[in-house]
Amino acid sequence: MAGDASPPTTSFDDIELHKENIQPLASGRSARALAQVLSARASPVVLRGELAVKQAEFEKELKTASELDDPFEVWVRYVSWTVENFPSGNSHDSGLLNLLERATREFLHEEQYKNDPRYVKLWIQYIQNHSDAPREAFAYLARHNIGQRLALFYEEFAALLESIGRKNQATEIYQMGIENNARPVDRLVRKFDEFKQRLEHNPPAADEPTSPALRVVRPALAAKPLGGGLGGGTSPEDQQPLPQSQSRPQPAPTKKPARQKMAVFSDADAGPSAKATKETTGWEEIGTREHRSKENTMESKPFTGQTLKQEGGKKPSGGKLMVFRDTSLPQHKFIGPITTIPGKRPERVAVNLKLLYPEESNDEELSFEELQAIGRGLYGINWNMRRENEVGEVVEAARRNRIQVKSRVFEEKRAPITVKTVMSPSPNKGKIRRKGHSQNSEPTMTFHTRAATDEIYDIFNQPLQLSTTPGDEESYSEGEEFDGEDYTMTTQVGERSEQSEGADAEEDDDDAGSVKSEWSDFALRQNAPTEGEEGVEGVYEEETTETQEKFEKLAIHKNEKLAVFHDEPEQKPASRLPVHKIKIPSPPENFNPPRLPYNAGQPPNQNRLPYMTPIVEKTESFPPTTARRRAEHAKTPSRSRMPDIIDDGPAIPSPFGEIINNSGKSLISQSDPPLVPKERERKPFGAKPVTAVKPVAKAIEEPVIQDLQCNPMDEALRVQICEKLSPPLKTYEGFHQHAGKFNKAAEIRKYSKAIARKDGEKTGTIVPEPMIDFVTGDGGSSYTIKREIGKGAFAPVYLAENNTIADAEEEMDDLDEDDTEGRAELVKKLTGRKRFEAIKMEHPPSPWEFYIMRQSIRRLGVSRASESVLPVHEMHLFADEGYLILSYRDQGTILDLINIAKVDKAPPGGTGVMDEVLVMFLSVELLRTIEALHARGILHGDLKADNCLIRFENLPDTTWSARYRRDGSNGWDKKGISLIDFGRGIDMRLFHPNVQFIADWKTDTQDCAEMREMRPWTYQIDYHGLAAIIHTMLFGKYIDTTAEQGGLGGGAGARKYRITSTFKRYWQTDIWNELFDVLLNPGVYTADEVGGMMPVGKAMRKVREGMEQWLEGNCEKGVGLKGVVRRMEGMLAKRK
Amino acid sequence: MTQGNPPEDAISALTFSPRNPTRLLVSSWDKYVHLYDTNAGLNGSKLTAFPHAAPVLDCCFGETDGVLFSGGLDWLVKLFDPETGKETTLGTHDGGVKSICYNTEIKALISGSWDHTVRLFDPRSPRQTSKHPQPHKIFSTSTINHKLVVAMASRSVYLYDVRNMAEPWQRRESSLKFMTRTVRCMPNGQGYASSSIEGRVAVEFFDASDESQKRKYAFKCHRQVEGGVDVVYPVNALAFHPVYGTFASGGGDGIVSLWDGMAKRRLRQYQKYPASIAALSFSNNGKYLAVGSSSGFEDGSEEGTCPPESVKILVRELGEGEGKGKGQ
Repeated sequence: MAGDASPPTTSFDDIELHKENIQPLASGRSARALAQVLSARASPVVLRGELAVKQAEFEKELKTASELDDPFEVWVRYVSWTVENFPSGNSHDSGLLNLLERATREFLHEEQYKNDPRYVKLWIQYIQNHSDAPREAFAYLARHNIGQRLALFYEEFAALLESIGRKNQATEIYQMGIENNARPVDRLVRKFDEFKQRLEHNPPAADEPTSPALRVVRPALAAKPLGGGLGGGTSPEDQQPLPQSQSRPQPAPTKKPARQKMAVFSDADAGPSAKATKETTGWEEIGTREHRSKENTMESKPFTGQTLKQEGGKKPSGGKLMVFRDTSLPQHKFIGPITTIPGKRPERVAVNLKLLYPEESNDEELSFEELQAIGRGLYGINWNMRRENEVGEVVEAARRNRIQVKSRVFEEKRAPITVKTVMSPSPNKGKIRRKGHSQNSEPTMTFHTRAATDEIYDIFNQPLQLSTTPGDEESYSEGEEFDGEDYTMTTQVGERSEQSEGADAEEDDDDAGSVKSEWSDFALRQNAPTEGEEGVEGVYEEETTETQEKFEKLAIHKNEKLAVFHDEPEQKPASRLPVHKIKIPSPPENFNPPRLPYNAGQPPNQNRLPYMTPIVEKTESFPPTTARRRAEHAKTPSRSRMPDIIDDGPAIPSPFGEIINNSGKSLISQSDPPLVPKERERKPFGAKPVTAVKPVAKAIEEPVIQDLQCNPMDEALRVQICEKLSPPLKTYEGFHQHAGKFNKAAEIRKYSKAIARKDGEKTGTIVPEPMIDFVTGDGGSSYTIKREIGKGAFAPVYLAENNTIADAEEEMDDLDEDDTEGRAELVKKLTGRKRFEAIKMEHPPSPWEFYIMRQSIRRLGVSRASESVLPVHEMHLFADEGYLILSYRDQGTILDLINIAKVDKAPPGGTGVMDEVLVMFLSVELLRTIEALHARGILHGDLKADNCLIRFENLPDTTWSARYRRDGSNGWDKKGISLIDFGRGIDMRLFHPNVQFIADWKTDTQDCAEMREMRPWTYQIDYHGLAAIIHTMLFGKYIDTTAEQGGLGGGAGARKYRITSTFKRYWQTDIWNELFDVLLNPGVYTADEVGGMMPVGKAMRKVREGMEQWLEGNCEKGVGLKGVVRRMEGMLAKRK
Repeated sequence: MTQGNPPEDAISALTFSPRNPTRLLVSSWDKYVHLYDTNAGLNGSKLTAFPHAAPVLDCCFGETDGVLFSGGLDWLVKLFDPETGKETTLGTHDGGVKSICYNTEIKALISGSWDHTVRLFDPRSPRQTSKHPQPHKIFSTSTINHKLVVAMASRSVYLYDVRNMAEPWQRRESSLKFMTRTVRCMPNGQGYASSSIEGRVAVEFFDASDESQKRKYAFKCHRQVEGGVDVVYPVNALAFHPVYGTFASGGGDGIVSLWDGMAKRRLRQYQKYPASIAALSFSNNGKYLAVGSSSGFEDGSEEGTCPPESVKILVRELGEGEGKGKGQ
């Protein structure tokens, strides 16, 4: 091999340059082959592609190799090819180690190859270059009688033993070889002689192990294999130098108690059923390298709940005192959420933050004292009013006599105080005065005590007629007078009641749920000048006179409201009512706290306890506007026609022939309902007479659309584009335009509904799976719809079985072994396609998404970014429906990841958001993809978390390194994302270079600032989309931005946007800040770009590179990025 | 030493007289303000008590030991003369009076209330002299020399010069992430310490200059490991040592710690008290530390009942050099 026979001499300069990258081989390397391989290095991408193709060919060949006479031959070729073409030895690309392992294991039990020199050579190659325990491996071969008749085996084994200073054993091996008559004996004898000569000069050390190199397997032991390696050298003194021998997995662990320790290492998968009953040699497999060293790799575990023991930290000597505390301190009823910061002990705040920072009101936080006061019913009392009432002796006089004055000193001193509770004016009745800013209403007083609430529930628990009979009411008011004074907070609850329960009850009735806000009313109202005495009196009079009337009302009221409160009194009848009123939100109307939308900004001081409701998919991120009601027909409101801005005006030539024109017409007729006023069409552009610009642009030949301002999503505009495309869309591979209608949508929808129902009820008739056939020139294609996987209101996505592929696969199984031709043909058919694919059913149909996706993939070419665009296979366009055949990825979207994190890491114990390192990784993927797309003039236009499919290809650990590689090597290019839903994509090359877009749909915070402010935009749409996705990943909620006026002042351009959320302290705030700054203010960064225009590729790349660098440096901290990704893979798989 | 005759309900505040190391004034949720002589008899004795109509939230001494102030949930700020038993209402807030303090420079009582106002009273006239609206509910006030620190809800902290109350001298945000619990000025008038409900204390300086602001810091305290989890308690009380300038903090965990704010060191941690620490005060000579401990305020529970037996006032006699900072 070393001698290169072929004539042309090889320039060693080429090789010289690369010599560090060439793994030396004992057999030497072909210089020519090396030069060939290395000269191709100029274009590594191409080379890698070629090699990958070749590898794939080999793999394919291997699959069918079992049918060959000499299946091993394929392996040999594959290995030698790999060795030759990957001079750097084992790497991710070559997968040499993996290959050798596979090859050697494959034929382990094939008698045919046991003494095949090629096979043994392969083993030796593996052992010499890659095995971590070469001596074990040789012993293993011996046990399996591999190479027992080959001198090669004995020579190599002896050489190894000699090299590690086991000369006695080496002697033994040579002798054994000669005894076994291994071929060629002569060479073996010669080698042995040479060895003996060396031995004379250098006799074995005295302390050298003397145990036999290969132990004879005793039958009894062979039948009951033990934990330790039985092969060579497991004598006690041997254990030490090679501890790996212990870690050898044993598939048949019939353990003896004495060797129980070994059981620790036994493979968990080997259930009891795996007990070997068959005769074995006792050493079934040596295991791959990874397998053997698996104990050395830490299994990734969630960090949650783990405590890192702090060393040296002086522990508070709390142990004993804890016990004391438990008995004397009231047990905390509140167990707060535990927050964990990586690297620190988890923390739990002893304080009930929910109480301190009330969520359901706009009120300020509450201090302990306030809460206590609330608890004691002393909060929100208008003391001024009380005191004034004190003065109003006249009113009080009658009452005073009946007051049971408590024996408190100070009460004797003080004049009696009556609690006044003034009912709110009747118009307010039944309404929740949540905001309570109605200062102009009469001063309202709430006396809110436990006793009062008890009383209310007492009332509720009473038979209804009791309170409605007049007699009862009287007795009621009696009680009212009796105890009206007792506002103290001491515990004589029993006899205490309110002087005006009626009013109180009503108050409560109104406000039970929003009690706190009612109090807050007070805080607010207190600012208002207190009403004069007469006011108070008046109110009081009103109360006394109206009592009866109100009471009746109350009775009715109760009756109504009982249903609402119905749980409460049953559970806690009249006993101590929980003062956690705040916790029992039961306002009957508009009660929806847990369903707060994510972007419903809470007051800044209260957002510490965000709701942990999972984000739900917002398929329609642009709420249909009144102006564009046609959302029933178009997927997004923007996809509407804007005839005003089209040059050709009403006379749009039909781009797709008659059919499309028909559909276009139908679309127009359907979707331009009269409820859209004509003038509305123009409205968004009213301020900017776009039409005026057009004639100028007309002259330019190049772009299809010459407008300087337009709505890129406009349907008519797209139709125009499609028509002018060159080459036309029809020539695109996989694009099929069908005449006539297809009329399958209804059937498919019906089916998917039926399936959904079936899942729920497990009954119902079996609905036949709808099959859709597309007849095309080359045989057509056929799909069987399986189920709905994506719910878009206007473009549902279905999982479908590609019948062609399914048939081909089945055919393949049936095919005669010799029919290589038919085989090859089938293989060709299968290329690139999968049995299960996704079908996006659009109606009304539009070829747009297909066009953009194809263009994206084409323009990205062979680059990493192209992996991140979901492959599109076919497009079938009918008059009424469109079918887009896409690859199927079953791992969900980024949104799923976010929601998984939300559940998985929900407080207590977690943060509810994804790990920063994972966010960083996905952000890099996103940035790279978008950067590349932008550089090639493609805008996605609808970037959001649910439009990014997860692309975590399943990789064995051998081919995927724990260390993140920014160049995608070592398996990292197999992990990423796939963008979908290019339905709103924009091809910038079709437009004038200085084009500016205008959005005509109603915008929200998920839209970029330019859109929201009705300014023109281009790439900003994607930048903002990116920012939104990354924000959602980081914080678990939708993005919200604020504008800061820039230093220069004036003009919208000077404005600077930033997100309102704040980063966690331990995050890489610098990176994130920079990222969001670029994404939200791309205009600032255009200076560095070519022509001073967007896209801001350079700025993006800079940020991305910073992130990649950080990832490479920090990917192995804690669980590690790989661990996180692995875990997510598991979660995503489980999700289904 | 445990002070005899403690209040019957939770302690809201306690303070030593700035002139007499044995006069201790305690306000409580039992609606009384209690005055003790800590030196009388074995366990001290209660000299007198005067009532409010509702729980008392704060109390302080005035110009002499014969002038006592208190403010409470009944919206009132009261003046009380322990000699004569005469009781005067200084003024009224429109909300519970959470915190009061007496400024010796302008001889005025300053009260902060949940009604979002700070008011100044002249105890001699007696009447309200001025009213200063604040953006939030006042949670704590402290004054030294001409400076007044007003800590409010929403973590805002306003600094005033009492001679010019029209405008805040500085508007600050608390350096702590959670609700401010207490604020106390340093005896040397350089700055103040504040504590939050989430086991942290911040030390800040009045001087707005950058180098002064750089010196500000915050630290964690009053945390206990329970089952591998750090339970974070509120820091309810702070008190500066009048001589050494060190300070004590008392938390919901019932622990009192002594800190050296300059050296950023903990000097010592006292034995755990059976209930949450409600208030702390050093006597004027720095010889005694009064600790008010009562349950009910550990976790901000609104249901916090306070069994009378849990209410304790402990007066700790500090040893020689105890409370002295490092390097002093």
